Amino acid sequence: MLKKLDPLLHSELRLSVMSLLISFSKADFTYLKEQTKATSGNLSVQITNLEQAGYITVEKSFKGKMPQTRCSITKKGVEAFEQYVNDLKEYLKI
Amino acid sequence: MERNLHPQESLKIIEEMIQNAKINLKENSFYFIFWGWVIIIAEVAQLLISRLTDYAHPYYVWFIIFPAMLIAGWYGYSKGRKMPAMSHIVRINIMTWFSFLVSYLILVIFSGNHHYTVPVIFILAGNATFLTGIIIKFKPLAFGGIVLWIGAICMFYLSGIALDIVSVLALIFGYLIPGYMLKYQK
Repeated sequence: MLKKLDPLLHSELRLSVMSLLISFSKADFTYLKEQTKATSGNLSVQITNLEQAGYITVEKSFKGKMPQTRCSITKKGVEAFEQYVNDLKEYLKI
Repeated sequence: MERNLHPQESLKIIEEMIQNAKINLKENSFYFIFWGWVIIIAEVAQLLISRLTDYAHPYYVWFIIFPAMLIAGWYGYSKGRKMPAMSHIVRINIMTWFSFLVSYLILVIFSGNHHYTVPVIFILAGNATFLTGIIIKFKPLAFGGIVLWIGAICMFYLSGIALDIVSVLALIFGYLIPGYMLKYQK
């Protein structure tokens, strides 16, 4: 029987964010927004969801006078992403 | 309300985002071109001063390395601050050159004026250049690293003007040409 895909990752925006973060050690909120073409509000909510699940960490700081939010994937996030990709392969019989 | 994704769509999203994550690595060319010229200028200046003048310390021209380090450090720092995301590839590449810098400083500070210091520096520079070529998948740089290694082998058997000529040639073919090729690649 096929496993249920991780509901937290099985969403367009959250999956996009995780796919970007898997390639980067750190990424700016603005960069994620630009790449995913999401609205600030929606992206902010999804980042909080991923952070609460322990899949990513969020670091807030200031760059000059501008607030800066940087995200990075955690070990748990990497494992969840790998599991999701494996489940996906099973689904698609790749 | 979130739309239900089909597994095929998920795969497409992952592929697209990983493709988007590819960062332009042409900026690396600055370091090869900059250091290539700095070292060639120092090498040629030392050669000219020692051949054409009676000045007792022509090797003082190598102090140019320290302001050059500050310029390269400042360039890297300002680029790093502007970089919206740090990829694992960029990070590994930075660490490769950081390990070269540490090894270089240990060698220069503690080896004294040993005959083998220069070829060993070329071996270390060859390692870092070769690895950068492999990391960023740019073959001319990997070949540049091999050129620096070959230059180092020759230097073990040479001295005087022959050593200076080989080191300039190794820098031209190991640093400058791959650096310019990286800069102008499409």
